[in-house]
Amino acid sequence: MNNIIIGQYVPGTSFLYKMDPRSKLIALFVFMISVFIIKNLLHITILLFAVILILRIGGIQIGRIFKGLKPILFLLSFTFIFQLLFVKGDVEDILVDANVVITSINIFIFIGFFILWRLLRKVVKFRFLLFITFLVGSIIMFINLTPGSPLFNNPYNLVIYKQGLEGAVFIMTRLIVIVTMSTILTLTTKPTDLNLGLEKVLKPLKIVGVSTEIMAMIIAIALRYIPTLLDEANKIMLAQASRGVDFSEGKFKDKIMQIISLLVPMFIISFKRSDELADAMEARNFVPGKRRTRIHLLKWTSVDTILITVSLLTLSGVIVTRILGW
Amino acid sequence: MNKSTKVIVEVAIMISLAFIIELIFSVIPGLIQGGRISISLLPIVVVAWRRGIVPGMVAGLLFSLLNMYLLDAYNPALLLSWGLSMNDFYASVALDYLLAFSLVGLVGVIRIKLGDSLLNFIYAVVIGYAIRFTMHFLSGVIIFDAFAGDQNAWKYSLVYNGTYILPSAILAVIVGIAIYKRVLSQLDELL
Repeated sequence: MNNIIIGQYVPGTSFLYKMDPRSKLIALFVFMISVFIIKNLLHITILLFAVILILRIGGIQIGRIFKGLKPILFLLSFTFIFQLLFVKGDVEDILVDANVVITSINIFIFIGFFILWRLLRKVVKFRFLLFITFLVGSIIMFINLTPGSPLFNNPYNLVIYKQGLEGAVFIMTRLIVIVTMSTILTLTTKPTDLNLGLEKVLKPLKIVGVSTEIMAMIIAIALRYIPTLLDEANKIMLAQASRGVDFSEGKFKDKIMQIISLLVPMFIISFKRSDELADAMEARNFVPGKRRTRIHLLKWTSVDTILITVSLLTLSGVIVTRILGW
Repeated sequence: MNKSTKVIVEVAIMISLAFIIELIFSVIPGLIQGGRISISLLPIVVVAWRRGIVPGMVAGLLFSLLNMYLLDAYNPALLLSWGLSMNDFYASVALDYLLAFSLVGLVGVIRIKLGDSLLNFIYAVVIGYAIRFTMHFLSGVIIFDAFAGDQNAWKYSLVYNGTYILPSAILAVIVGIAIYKRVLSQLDELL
C-alpha cells in the first residue's frame, strides 16, 4: 500500500522539467489541435519525429512511453488489422493480392513456428514484436510455401489496398503522437505544479463566476492529503489485523463488516483532520477568494516562449497546408 | 459557493477520502470498458448532505477529474483504438465523469427539504447512485452503442451499467447506514 505511485511523475533534470507548467499546458493544447487538423500521412510522420526529437533532447527514455502505450497495445493492433483488411480502394492500388492456402505440409511448419514462438517468448524482451513477427511470418509462409494438398476447398483471398495500409499507419501514428505528447507532460510535471499551472491558465473562467483559485486550492489540499489518509488507512488496517481481522479472507458478510470497520474510523479521522486544517488556515489569516502570496513562484523563461512560438508556428503551418491542400 | 474555509477544506478532504476508497476498491477487477464496484460516491454524498448542493457538486466534479486523470488515466487514444471518434471522447468525458459525479451533489437538496434522518440519508445515497447510473446509461446508449452488437442498445447499456452500479449502491447503503449512525449523527461530540 505504501508504494502506490499517484500520477506518472518521474524526477529529472532536463529542460522539460525546468519549464513553466503553464507553457507546457498551452503548448500541449495547441499541438493536440494541430494533430487533429492533419490529414496527411507525411505530415503526421514529421510530427512524430519532432516528438521523438523532443524526447531525446529532454532525456526521457522511450521505454517509458512504451509503458504508457502498453495497455492499449492490443486494441491498437486490432484497429490496425481492421483498417488493413476492410478498407477498400481502387483496383490499381492493390498492394497484395494472394491466396492463403493451408496445406497438409505447411500446417506442420506453422506448428513448428508456434512452438518456436512460445519458447522464444520466455527469453526475448520485446514479446509484442516477436508476436507480430510470428504472425506476419506465418501468413507469408502460408502464401508462398504451398506444397501438398490443401486442407480446405476455398482458400482465403488476402487483398490489401494502398489506402488501407495508409489509413492504418496514419491512425497508429496519430495515436502514438497523442499518447506520447500527453505522457511527456505528465512525466515531467508534478501534479501540484500541474494544478498551479491549470489555475493560472483557466483564470479567465472567473468571468463566468467560477473561482479557479478555490478549485485549485481544493485540488491542492486533496492531493496533499491522499498520502496522509492512505497512511491512516494503513494504520487502521494494521490495528484491526492485530485484533485478529483478516482483510484477505472471509465470507461476503465478513468482508462488509471489514469495510465498515475500516471506513467508519476513516470518516472520523477525515472530519477531524479537516476541522484542524481549517482552524490552522484561519489562524494564519486565510480568507477564501482573497489574494495570496506564494512560496513557489512560476518562472517564465525564454525556453517557454520558444515552445509556445514553435507550437503556434506548427498550428499555423498545419492550417496553411490543409487549406492549400499540399 | 459558500466561501467559508471549513467548507473548502471539508470538500477537499472528502475528495481525498473518496479517492482512497476508489483506490482500495480498485483491487476488484472491473469491466472491460470501465466500471467497477466501488462506494467512492459515499464521501461525495456526505459532503452534499452536510454542506449543501454547490459544495457537493464541486466535490463531485473535482473528484471525477482526479479519478479520470490519476486513477483511470482516461485518454482519447483508448477510445480511438476502439474505433470511436474524438467527439465521442469529449462526450464520454462529460457524461461518464463530469456530469455523472457532479450531479450527485444535487442530493444535498434532500436534507434541506426533508430534514435530517437516517431514512433520508439512505434516500440520498440511493438517489446519488441513481443519478450516476442515469449518466452512465445515457453514455452507453449515445456513445458506446456500437458495442451492443446485435442487442438493443438500451438493453445493453442497462445490463452493462447495472452489473456494477447495483451492487455498489447496495454496498453503499449498508456502509452508509453505519456511517450515518456512528459518524454523521454524532459528529459534534466526536470533534
